[in-house]
Amino acid sequence: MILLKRVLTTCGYCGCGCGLYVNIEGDEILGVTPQGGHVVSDGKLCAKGWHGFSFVRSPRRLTKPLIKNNDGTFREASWEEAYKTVKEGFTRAMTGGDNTDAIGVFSSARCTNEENFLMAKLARMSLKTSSIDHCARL
Amino acid sequence: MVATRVFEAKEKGASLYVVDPRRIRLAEFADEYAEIEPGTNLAFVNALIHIIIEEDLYDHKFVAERVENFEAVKESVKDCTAKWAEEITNIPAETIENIARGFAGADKGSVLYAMGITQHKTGTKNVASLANLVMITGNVGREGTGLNPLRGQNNVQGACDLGALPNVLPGYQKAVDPATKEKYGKVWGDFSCFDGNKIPEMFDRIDEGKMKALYVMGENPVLSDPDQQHVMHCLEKVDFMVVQDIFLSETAQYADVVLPGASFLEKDGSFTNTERRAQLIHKALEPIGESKPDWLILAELMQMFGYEGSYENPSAVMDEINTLVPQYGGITYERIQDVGLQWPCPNLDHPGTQYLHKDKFIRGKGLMTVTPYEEPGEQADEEYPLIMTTGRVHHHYHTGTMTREVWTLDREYPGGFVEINKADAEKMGLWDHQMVKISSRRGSITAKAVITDNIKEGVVFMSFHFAESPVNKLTSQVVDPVTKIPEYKVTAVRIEVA
Repeated sequence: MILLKRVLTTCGYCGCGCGLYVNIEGDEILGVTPQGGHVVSDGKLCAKGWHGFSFVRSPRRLTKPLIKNNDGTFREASWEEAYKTVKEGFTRAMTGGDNTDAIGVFSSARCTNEENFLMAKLARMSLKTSSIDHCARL
Repeated sequence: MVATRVFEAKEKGASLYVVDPRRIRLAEFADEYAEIEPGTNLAFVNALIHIIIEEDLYDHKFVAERVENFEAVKESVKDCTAKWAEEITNIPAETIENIARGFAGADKGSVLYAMGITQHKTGTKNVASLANLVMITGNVGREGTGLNPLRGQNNVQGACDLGALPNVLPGYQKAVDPATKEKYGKVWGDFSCFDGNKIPEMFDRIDEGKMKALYVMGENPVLSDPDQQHVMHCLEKVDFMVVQDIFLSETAQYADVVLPGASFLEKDGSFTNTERRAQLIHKALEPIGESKPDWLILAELMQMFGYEGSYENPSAVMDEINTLVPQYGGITYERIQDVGLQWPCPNLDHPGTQYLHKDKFIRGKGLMTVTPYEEPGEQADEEYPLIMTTGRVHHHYHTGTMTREVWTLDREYPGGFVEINKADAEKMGLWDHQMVKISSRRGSITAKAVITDNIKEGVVFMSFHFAESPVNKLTSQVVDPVTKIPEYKVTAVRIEVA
């Protein structure tokens, strides 16, 4: 028996914000169904909306934190070790000079509102930098 | 999706004017198509304004009641005749006149634009000139009117709204305003409240040795930013770099630590679309492997740096946004469960705002700006005789990290290409699909030639989706002085057989 799950969401591609259902079986995306009556898209989708989501289960997805070795290759690491390394690296940058803009932060137009808000807070509160930007210009 | 609305309007009898150096598909349906020389938008728009004023086609009532600085703009465009603009833009004077008369004569007129207006040395002035145009024709604050920028990425609007900018705190509250510092200080404690560096300035500061570390979340500047060699040099130079992404992107290769984030199908949250509408996303799949939703990574890192608060879920973050960001004051998950809300939405009883500047402009009166024509940053010459403009194709998205992983999309455009006008290709003796070398004053790349009538003579088009043909190896560091947006639409290049 096929147990199909339909999850309503907003397309993650462009600034239109079309409504669609993602059809899921287990951990696999079977396809999408446009949301009829949606205030923006009213049951329509573009090529990316219809076809664009198999990247989510691409074998090339990052699945574990990585830390760079001295020879330039990466090794897998635990979250604990990764966070510790991040903290050490940023702390070193912050204490290296007398200015408050020693760290640059690129936030993301692909991330959610909540994530951009948290990135602004992390940058300004924890990393003590006002140099936060994203690719609105590109 | 936007084009479907354009078609609907057209069916109802609207006139369509398309201005683009490429004969895009929409141009086939246009009443007038203006094949404009890249980098000459201001000459074109100033000529429209000149004609509309000269022929007394402007909205006297709107100008008298709602705008200021009209006389100065009128004076500044007095020599911008259609004939003058034809010389610069290569658009026939008659076409310019037809568009001016058609737009001014319409009961409702709407301007739709994207990066073809903004990615210029004069990007800010280009937008201001279009604002002048919609103001003098009274096309503001009513359905079917307005100046409508189309956002390329899904949440550019939300990222700007929620503080991913160096000069403002979330909600466009100016960092240098003492009231902002006081307001946020109550919730965030001690924090950096200055005008920070924009992305191109960050690279310069790294180059000067002043910026020591970088944190890049969900962006791929190696492919998306101008002058790739300069970007790579800076990423190599910076002491410490963290990249948070769903793939090991070209940029992630430079990182000291890579944190695996989750895609939008693997987390909850909200996006704000190009019409300021905040809408929810819902988790459809578990994050792959040990990857985590980005909000959780950021919240956990905040705690690593000593923050005592915590967030149980994105809805809890929205609660904090409700209290700090006036435009989002009434946008709660409960209210946007079924249909999104458009900001400004200051409180729980507010229905959201469909039209900004409806009865009056937010600043009071609409300010018209004098926007004289300036030449683009780069000119074609004997060595680099063609002008390259860059952009996107329908089936790919930005640097291709996502769409190039989807075979049904990638097969439509499987690699880098350069569109060349037939006449130019003939002069160079090129055949269709031949590999060519494209060079600018910064470097060279190779791509497949696509010979077409759909692009202006002397202009070539490339797309920045393809890592194997990295267009931004060619683009210049010329930027708009106000926004620092790169002039992606005008690069002088030379093409030869590879």
